[in-house]
Amino acid sequence: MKYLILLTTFSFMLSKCDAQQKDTGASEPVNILSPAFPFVVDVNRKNIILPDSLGGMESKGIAALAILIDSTGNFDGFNIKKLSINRFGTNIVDFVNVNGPSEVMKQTAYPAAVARYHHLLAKSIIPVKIKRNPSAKPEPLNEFILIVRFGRD
Amino acid sequence: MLDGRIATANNEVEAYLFGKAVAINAVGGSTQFGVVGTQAGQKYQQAMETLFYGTTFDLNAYQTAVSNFKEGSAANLQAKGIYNNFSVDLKLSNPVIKKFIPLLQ
Repeated sequence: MKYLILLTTFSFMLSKCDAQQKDTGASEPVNILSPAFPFVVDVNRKNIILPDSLGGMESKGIAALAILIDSTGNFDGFNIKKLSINRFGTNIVDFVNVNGPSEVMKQTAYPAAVARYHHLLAKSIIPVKIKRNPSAKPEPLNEFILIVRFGRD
Repeated sequence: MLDGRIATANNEVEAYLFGKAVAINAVGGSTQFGVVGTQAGQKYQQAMETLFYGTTFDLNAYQTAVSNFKEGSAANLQAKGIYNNFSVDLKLSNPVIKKFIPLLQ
């Protein structure tokens, strides 16, 4: 009887292990911290010294640009999501755009204080190099956020 | 944080914001936080972008993000609802993430 109980317990433990292995095998691994993005964007310059007309070399700050890419990997254009520039601790520009449409905004669609930086930003990031990441499926329109900094390194 | 309770939507919202800021500052990437095509996803996305790009801490956006986290975040959807049982504290007005804003600088 003692052996029968031991054998039954052992069989039960084995079946539980098997069930757990099947559960583990059935679930798909999901990287919730860093989901794969279908495209990787690279640009020549991520640091810009501003000309005197736009604040000069003493100006510092940051721009977050949304690079818009179509499903085939073509560069559609860019939108300015954030532009923050200060000079000697005083804010020259402080712009945030969280309601921007998922289409390219024209230069004239921005406030005048932001629009004057548009051409310089375009010049600094174009041509955009776009690499395809085959492990992620592209959407009809894909948005890649790129950071550009102002001032000396 | 939150009387020592760890499993809260508040902590997750803050952790996703901070983690995304580190990644975007370093190599760039997507800031799609919300589920596409749902109202909760849209609210969550807009609130998270307000916190992510903002120069100052926006308490209203923080509360919107926290309250829509379970239903509207892509993270919870992709992880098949692992955060569904997490508690939500909508009265928290001084979260840790406040000290790190602006996240992009």
